[in-house]
Amino acid sequence: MTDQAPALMILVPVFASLALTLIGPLGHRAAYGLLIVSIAISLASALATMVQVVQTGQSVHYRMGDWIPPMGIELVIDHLSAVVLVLISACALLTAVYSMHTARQDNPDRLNHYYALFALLVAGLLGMTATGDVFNLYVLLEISALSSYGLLARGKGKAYYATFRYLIMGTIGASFYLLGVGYIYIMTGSLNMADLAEILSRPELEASVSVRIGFSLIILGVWIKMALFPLHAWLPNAYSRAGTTTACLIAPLMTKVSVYIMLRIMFTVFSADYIFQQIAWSHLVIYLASAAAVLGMITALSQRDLRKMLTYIIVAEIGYLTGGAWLANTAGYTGAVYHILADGLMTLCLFMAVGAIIYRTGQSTAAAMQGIFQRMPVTASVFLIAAASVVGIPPTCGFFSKWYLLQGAVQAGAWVFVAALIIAGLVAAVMFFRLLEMAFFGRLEDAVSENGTENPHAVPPKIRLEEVPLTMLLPLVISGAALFGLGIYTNEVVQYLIRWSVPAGI
Amino acid sequence: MDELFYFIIAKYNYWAALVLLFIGLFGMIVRNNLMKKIIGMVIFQTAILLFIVSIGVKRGATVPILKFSPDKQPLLDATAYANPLPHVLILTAIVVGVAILGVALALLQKIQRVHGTIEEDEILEDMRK
Amino acid sequence: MTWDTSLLWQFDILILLMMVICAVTALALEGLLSSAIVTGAYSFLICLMWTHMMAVDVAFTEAAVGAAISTVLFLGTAQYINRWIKKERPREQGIKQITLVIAVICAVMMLSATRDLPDWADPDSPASTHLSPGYIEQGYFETATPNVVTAVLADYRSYDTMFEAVVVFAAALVVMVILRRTSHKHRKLLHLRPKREGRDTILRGAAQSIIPVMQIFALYVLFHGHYSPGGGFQGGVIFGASFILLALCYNLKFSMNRFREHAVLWCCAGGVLLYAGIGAVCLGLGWSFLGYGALAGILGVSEVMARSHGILAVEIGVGITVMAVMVSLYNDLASGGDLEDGL
Repeated sequence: MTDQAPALMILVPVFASLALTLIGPLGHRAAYGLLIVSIAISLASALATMVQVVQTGQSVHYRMGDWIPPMGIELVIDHLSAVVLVLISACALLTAVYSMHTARQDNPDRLNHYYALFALLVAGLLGMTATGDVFNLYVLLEISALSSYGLLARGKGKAYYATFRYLIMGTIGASFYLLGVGYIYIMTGSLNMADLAEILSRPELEASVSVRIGFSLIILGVWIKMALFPLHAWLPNAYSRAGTTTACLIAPLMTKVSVYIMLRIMFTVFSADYIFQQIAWSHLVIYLASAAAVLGMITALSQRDLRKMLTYIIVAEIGYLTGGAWLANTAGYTGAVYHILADGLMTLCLFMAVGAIIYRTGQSTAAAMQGIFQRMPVTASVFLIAAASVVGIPPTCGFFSKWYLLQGAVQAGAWVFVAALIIAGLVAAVMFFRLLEMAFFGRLEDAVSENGTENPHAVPPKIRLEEVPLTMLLPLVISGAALFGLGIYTNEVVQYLIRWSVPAGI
Repeated sequence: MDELFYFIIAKYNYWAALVLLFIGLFGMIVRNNLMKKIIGMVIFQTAILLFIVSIGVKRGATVPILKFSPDKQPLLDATAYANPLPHVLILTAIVVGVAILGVALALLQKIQRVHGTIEEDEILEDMRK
Repeated sequence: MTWDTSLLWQFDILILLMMVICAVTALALEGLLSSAIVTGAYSFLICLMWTHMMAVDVAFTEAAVGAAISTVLFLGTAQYINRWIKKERPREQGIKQITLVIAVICAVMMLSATRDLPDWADPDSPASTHLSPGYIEQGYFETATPNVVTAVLADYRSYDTMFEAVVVFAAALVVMVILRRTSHKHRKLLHLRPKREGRDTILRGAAQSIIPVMQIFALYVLFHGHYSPGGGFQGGVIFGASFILLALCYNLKFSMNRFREHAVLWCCAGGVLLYAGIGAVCLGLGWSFLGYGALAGILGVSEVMARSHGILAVEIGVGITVMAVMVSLYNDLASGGDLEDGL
């Protein structure tokens, strides 16, 4: 069955989503169970494929419809995509388990349709990561985009306008991607990534303006999709108004998969040599990335709303990832790929923790953090770990990704990026210190006596332990532990997985 | 003169597609009314589709449906038929386009119900309240 | 320095000019209803253009989807929104202007770079020489399908097409999730919808005579997709349009009695399920997903014919989904989500 695993991991969620559409009458427990089972199968298939890739040291090819590429479409799973596939399915599984209470809270009606869109989004993301065909990628991009519009629009009142803006921006992004594919197709006549790479490496296309335009359009489209500064305006609005489950699913994964696509296009379809010799603007990207990192973090610092703060952290992290990719050296690339993993887990962890806090306190401003350590000790500890990882404190994985990125930046002599990484880290430290101070020492509202005046001699009221239900706590703890685990096994991850995916020529 | 004429003849299709593309983009970015943004989006998408279908055209070629000789053998000269691959891609893309249009219109109806307007500046004012 | 006069460039340029005019008009008009109609006209013009480019399947789809269904969806929505745009007030548009300047620079650069593209309709361009001859020359022997577009769509690239069906399915689901949430106390917000009591006898008579023909034609388009332009999408859209016409000429309740809410939902998912199910059967028989050759043993025919039958089966799946999704989109958008009364 392992040779069918690449197809199964994408198709099982598709089938699940079809079934979920129809099983409304069976109730929410059936829907919840079906979702978890299907994503668990995906995760198992992704893990099986990753093991196969690591053991053989070669990429796995799966021919759809038994057609030989480039005539047909093939799935290609190499070291890079195997890692991202496992990340996607693992994050989705944790979110699915977590969603038991929050999804019902956010979706009083049509929960099964919500779950169907959830499964479709996962299928779309997995498909985008696994595919070896640039047009197929576009179709799957639209599937994940459409299902995310549906999920985001389930938020409250203002979510509709935020989703609409996301839809407009997302469509512009996807259309630019498609137009870029069109330009590349005119010049090469192919859509298969491996075939394209072979044709594009021919000397007669080196100087072609159309190929450059095609490359620029694709990258521009992907940048809009991944909300790179200054194209990020849609993201904080759309994500911060979404329901808790939606935010936990979309925030860690959508942007990371876009980064993955950027890496694919840059290093699989095109090559580092081509980009840095032929593309005039390629040296400016590092400044954009630095600006994204610094401005994203500073804007995050100025936010009152917890969720909005986290969304600006995503904008900043996108800066790290883009910078790492465009440093064009091994350390930078390793840092970027490792940071996809680290940041995916970090964001998931933060959003889940904040989701848990919102679930219990019912408010999403920073004030909700007050006294969290007494009331929800486990959630607060996990939040602390995730915060440490964002700031970059060892042994969490955030430290190691920053280490690689810094190393890469120093090697490339990109001092702007070095400065940006350090400043962003410091700003993040200030931001989380402020929050955690409130979480540790902030008084509960109960401490303030009834008539509004504080009575210093009153006995502090007994603090009730209000930890969230087990279905929410378990994924939270697992993701927190994963941050440590990934940090501790950094060497192994880099050695067995990421080093193999480093493209030739950088 | 002949040179210029030839140049125009050889590329006009791509030009038209690009002009339409930027008209659509203008509508999406600059217009204040959300319905106009959606119409801009439709124009923007179809312009890209026009561009890609243009790739498939071959001089002197006919529709990509095989013709048969009297003895029931297919005529398999590739230069006689238009390139089918862009057609396939665009068929897919058209359907994607209508899917997005449907979702956009649904959101538009909801925005009207929540904010009572579909003018962008008025919505922003309403949200600030 | 030769150009083929058979391409009739004067005709092309005329249509392209009209398209540009339509596009500008659609964006400039103050009435949203009329902009929607002009957008429909734009779609028809692009159909003409595509027919002239020998992309008949594409033109067919655009005529059914872009010109017909999209316009109906626009009109359905126009009932619930302010129909006239407000005069643009002068306000600071700093970011928009910068974006605009960048867009114009890009436009100039891209227009000037067209010199680098292969000439239009050049039979020696890479796109015409790399992959497509393979499809044309081998397609018939491998799939027994003379319409190369159908063969590529439903066999060589059938994985794409399956996800295309999933996209429309997702659209129906998303629209349902967004719109069918109106609780009863919010019904009064639907006041903008005009009340329609009786319908015209002439309309009903016309509908009675047209709808059966449309449905038969839709089935023909679907099942004849191997030999002529058409296939699952086009057939499905036309079949769906017949129900929409029914709803337009009678009312939404009438058409929903013929094609109930649950049936629509089952068809939406069922078509994709049929498509993916066939793929999964192939996978279960030890072939790759969607490797129709696996069906040869079950059907008792050669592998080539099995591919041909596989194409037909998945086209039927696409047709069912597309038909149901078009009806579902219309039902939701035209009734504002409450499925009470339509356009």
